[in-house]
Amino acid sequence: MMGLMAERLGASLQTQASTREFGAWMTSEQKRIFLLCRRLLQDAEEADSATQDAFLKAWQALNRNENKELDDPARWLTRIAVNTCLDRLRSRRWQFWRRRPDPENEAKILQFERESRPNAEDRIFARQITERLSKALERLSLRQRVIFTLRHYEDRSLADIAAVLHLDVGTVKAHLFRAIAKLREELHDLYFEEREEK
Amino acid sequence: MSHWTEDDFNNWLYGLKTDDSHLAACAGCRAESERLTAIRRQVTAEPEVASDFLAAQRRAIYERLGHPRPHRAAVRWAVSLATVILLFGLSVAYLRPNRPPQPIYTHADEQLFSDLTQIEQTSEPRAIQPMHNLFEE
Repeated sequence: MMGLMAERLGASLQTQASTREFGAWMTSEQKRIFLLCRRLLQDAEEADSATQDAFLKAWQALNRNENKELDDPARWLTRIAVNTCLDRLRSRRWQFWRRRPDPENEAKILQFERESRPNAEDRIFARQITERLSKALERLSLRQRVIFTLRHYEDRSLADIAAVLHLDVGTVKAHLFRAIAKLREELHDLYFEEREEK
Repeated sequence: MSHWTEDDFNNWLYGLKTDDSHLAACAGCRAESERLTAIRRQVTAEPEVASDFLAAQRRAIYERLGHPRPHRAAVRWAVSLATVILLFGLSVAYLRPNRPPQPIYTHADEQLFSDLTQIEQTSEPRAIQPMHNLFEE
């Protein structure tokens, strides 16, 4: 699917990116990019805006013919989204007046209760852990947060994360190691509580 | 043979521990690794995103493709520049040294009193003076 999309986008690049091809690609990537932005920004409203910015930047880059990384459009788009979120997170440091996101709106947009999960208890547990982990992510540096998010939620390989962030694998490992050390308590509850109870 | 610790499992789970030969040899740790992998898969499963939200987002993106908003950085620069100019203006207005007090001009009053005194002392009004000049030879 992505290979075909890359080919089509590549063909579009030779002339001008067509809105129709771009729209099809956007639809296939939209949810993933929005969730990535939301996990990094911890705010659905801001993630919505960041997602729009990311696709707009991608569109502009395609039309300027300046991008030559379309062998892997998903990775390229991930990089744009991550950089967009990092810009916002950096500028957020100055926004001391910023209000906390409204949990009700978040719940309306995201339906955490997946039908595939076996029972209500598991769902509640998963949600609690997700919320705690999300809060704990704020204790990490921006780079640690991005690397942990890409590894934990998107299950990307260290080499892939390194390629997305233009870092070497050793640096990614070092940041991930520190992130895991800082999140030790949350990860303990996530993975090991069950074993101790048994 | 000692079992893997919690840190071993965490590092393995996140790709930092690549040597997993122990798992092949230890059934207990292998079972634990499978349990942890299953939990991770379950907890990190993508939540559903409301489809009307995604549709609205796509519409917003399409609109912006035709009419891009000003770049955030440009807006930020414009706001910063406006703030600097405003602050500069305010600082100039408030920090400018006080003007020296305006001198009280008493000359006009003195002239007036002088003229009045002259009028009192002369019998003829001052306006008549030019007519005298007409008759002088």
